[in-house]
Amino acid sequence: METLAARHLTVTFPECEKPVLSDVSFTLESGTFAVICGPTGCGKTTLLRMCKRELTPLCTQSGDILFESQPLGSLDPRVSAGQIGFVMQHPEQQIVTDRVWHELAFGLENLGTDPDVMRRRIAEIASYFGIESLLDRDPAELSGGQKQLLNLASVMIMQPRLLLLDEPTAQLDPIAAADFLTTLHRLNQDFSVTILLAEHRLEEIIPLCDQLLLMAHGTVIMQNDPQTLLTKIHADSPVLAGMPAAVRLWHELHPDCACPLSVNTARTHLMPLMPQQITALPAPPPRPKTDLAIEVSGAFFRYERHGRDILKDLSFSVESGELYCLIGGNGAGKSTVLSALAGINRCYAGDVRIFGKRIQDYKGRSLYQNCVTLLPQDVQTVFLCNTGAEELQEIDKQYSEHLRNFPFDLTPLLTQHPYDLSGGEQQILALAKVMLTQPRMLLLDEPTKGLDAQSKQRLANVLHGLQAQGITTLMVTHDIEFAACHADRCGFLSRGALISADIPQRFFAENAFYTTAASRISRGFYQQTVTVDAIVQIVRKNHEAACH
Amino acid sequence: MRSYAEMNPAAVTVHLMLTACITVFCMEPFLLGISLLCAIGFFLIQNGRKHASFHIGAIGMPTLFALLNPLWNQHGTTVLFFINQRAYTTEALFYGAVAGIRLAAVLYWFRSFSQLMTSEKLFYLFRFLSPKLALIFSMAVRNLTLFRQQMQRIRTAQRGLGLYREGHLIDDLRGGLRIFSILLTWALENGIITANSMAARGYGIGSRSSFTFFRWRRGDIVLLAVSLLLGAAVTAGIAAGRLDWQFYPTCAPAAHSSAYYAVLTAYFLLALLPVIHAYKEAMMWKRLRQDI
Amino acid sequence: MRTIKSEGVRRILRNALPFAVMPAIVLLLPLGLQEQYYALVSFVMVMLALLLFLSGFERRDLGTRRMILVSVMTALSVLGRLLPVIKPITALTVLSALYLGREAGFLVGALSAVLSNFVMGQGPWTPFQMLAWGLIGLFAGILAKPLKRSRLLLYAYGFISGFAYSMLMDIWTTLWTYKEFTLEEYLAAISTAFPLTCLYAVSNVIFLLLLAKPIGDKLERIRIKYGL
Repeated sequence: METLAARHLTVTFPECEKPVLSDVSFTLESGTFAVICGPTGCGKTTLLRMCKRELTPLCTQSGDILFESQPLGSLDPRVSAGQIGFVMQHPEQQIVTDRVWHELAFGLENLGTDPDVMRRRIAEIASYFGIESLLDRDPAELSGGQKQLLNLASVMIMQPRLLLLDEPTAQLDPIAAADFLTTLHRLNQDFSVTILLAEHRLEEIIPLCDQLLLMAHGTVIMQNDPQTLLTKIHADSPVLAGMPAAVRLWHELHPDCACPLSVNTARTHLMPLMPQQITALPAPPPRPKTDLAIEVSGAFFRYERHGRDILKDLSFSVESGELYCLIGGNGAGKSTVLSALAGINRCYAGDVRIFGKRIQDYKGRSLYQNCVTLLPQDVQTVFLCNTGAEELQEIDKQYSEHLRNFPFDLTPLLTQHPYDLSGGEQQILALAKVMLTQPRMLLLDEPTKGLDAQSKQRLANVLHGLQAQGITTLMVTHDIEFAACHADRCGFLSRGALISADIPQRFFAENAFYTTAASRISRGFYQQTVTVDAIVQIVRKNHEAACH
Repeated sequence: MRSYAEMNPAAVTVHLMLTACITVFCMEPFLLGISLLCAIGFFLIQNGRKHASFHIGAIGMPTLFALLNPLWNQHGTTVLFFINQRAYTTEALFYGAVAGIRLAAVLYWFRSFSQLMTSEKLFYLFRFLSPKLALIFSMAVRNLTLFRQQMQRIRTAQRGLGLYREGHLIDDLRGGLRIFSILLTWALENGIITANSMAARGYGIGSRSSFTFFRWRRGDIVLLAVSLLLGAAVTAGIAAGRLDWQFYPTCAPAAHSSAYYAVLTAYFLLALLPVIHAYKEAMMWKRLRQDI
Repeated sequence: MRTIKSEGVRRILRNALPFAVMPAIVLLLPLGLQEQYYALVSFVMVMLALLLFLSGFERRDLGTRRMILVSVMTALSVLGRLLPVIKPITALTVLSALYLGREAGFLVGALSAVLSNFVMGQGPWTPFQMLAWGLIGLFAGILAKPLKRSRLLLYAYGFISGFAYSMLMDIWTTLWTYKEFTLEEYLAAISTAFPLTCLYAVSNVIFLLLLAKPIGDKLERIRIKYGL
């Protein structure tokens, strides 16, 4: 039986000539786990919202959406609200009430469920999701991952037959994201809930799902099981950039095997077919030595007098002009390092030097005058005006003069309200805003969070552009793929201390668990190949050598 | 084995509000004395030795009121001495002390009430008035925590940009306004997500039911009934003028009739209920432990 | 409110209450009642007015989005009340009323009062504060058109509402300290509180001066974006 189907759906927003969705048709059989992928702006979110009547945006629509063979418009409101669940991107703002139990009860209350039934359902769902101990807590105290699980649970408690999710893991760290996706998979397997998920974190989800919907320019251009679809997909399709490393590798090399979806299949089926005369690339030339921009030695920091040390004997240094990535798990102290370097937190022992000068010798605001600036994780904490242009003017009246060399064309962002921009555009606008203080050093906190592959690439271009102008960048991130591709050096932070630091090639090759998918695929076959590009280069070199 | 704090919030509210409101509207020194003692007893049961400064403030109140009231209150006949040719009278001194005791007692009762009424209990109470209002209340409480967190993030962010520095007056004021403005935008813009999330889960499609963990058990009903009964008795006594006490021009206590003692006893029982409850619980616990 | 069947009667009651309740408390009661019960009766009246008013919201369709905005503005003004000395609560209540309507204004005022008192200290004065701030919001909502048009009027409204608030609370102070209500004692209470009242009124104007534009712009944008 089909759970959800669209028939020639075309959607146009008011005051827009071009439709956002044009002639979309697809069918989801009951119990399917389907993933929509496509570049930003291809209409994923609009499509998902069209499938949920309560969230349908103001638009003109032709064609039909059918839920269990009934047009969406003719559904009983209780069926529409209860049987179709929707989870959005932001974990925090979807929560309505101030108690976990009440949040779970909220949907059932709206349906007018009997209190005794609610009691039982709350108990059931809490035990299934393992959140019984959290029932009396205020959701604000939960971690991001727990919040998103709560959002999922408070939708699942209404026992929906269809679950729509719009980038639910975008704001989560990798461990919480994997947890969330596993839970989704379990729900699909245990209760045969039909799932339609828009996601750009595809590495983990592609091997789990049954159907892929490929969208481009407002329409679904392909729908199939992942294996078939990813085999047929065009090699220069923009969605490929966000695909798992195994898929990208297969498309680059076209080996004589089925397209692998996971690290495991890539290692067992694809890698043995690769030539192995040359197993390593020549070492990259060492960076010319420059002055130290950051010098931290033996730094200790704690938030409370009797608390534990967040930074514990931390020592590391960053050369000026370098792009340095600090990676590490949750609670490793990554953000604290940044706040210590930005003068927000003072270390109680040890020495912190910025451009050779001790940080406590920067009096008043001199640390921030043409020297250091910290871009926080939540860039919305930076915006306060009504348009992009006003945001920039607020710092510097002659912003266009001073941003002449900014490696990104800001013009389209200037007339819009910052909150109307996409996540990636917000990031760049915020970056432009902080660049107006003309810093020599940028401190970035998780700049790639919630960005899709193209936005990440765009951000990387901007960062490299700034680097070419001599700006030192220290970023902390969970995104090891980004670090492997774009950093000059990476450092691994654990329990407040730097465990290791090296250029990405050596750094990720030596890590066994905390490393990129490409490195895990090629381990044992090639040396120090931590990106898909590196593997491709080695293979090409092998081919060239064989031809000669 | 439920403590007073764990009983049905509606019963607790009725009891505490009756006790406190009678205190507010009665100027009978003995009744107020009883009220203050019971209020302190209740507060100590709730808090133990914490909040020492609150005790000092609350207990200091009667003394302060007693000393100050004669300064601007010229009623009364028994003059103690003159200050700036204004009479300082015993009656005014006494009235001040009684008013101070009343204020202290009310402060204790309401402080205990605030401590007991967690947001989910208040939510439960607001539901009697209007479930919609209760929901707004619950959302506001949630926002309060959320905004505090976000405000901290914004402050840190603004300092990291070098736009705001703490401990500098102008910066603090300007920075405060910036932070507030950023918080406001953030709150309003992200509110739409909450609205969508509510709509997606069917808010507003029809008659709502509402869920609560609070139940009416025998103990709650007993508490409610006893409070109403005693409260009615005391109120009737006060309304009948049995507790009327004259302060000016000379002190004239209420007539010591049997009704007078009955009203005082009824109020004493009413105000002592939490303490009696705690004692009963403690005894029961002890007995259960001994049986093991 | 829900027990009254006729929509017309309900509407009249709803609109008449704020106008009727306040003058009734201030003027009529001392004439008909023994002075000693005045405090109790006025307290009960205030409670009753509040209860009637608030329970009336159940039937009103505020709309989900307006409800969210009310909860946001309430939380913000509670946060603001925790500032030292000067409080933006009146300014925020007035601005919410201007852009979100009179019901929203009343709710923001009344709910901020009860919520912030959990920190500032709950007491028998809470219902009075709830009513005072609620009415400031309600009247601002009723006068929304002229107040939005003229900044000067808005500041004047802020200034006056500072005094109105103080005078209403002084009724309570008088009742509380003297146990009976005479004009003489009421005036005495007003004059004692006068410097503080002025501070209130002036700080209201300052906050409106600072906040009217940014908050107004933001609420207006949200109103359009949310389709209110």
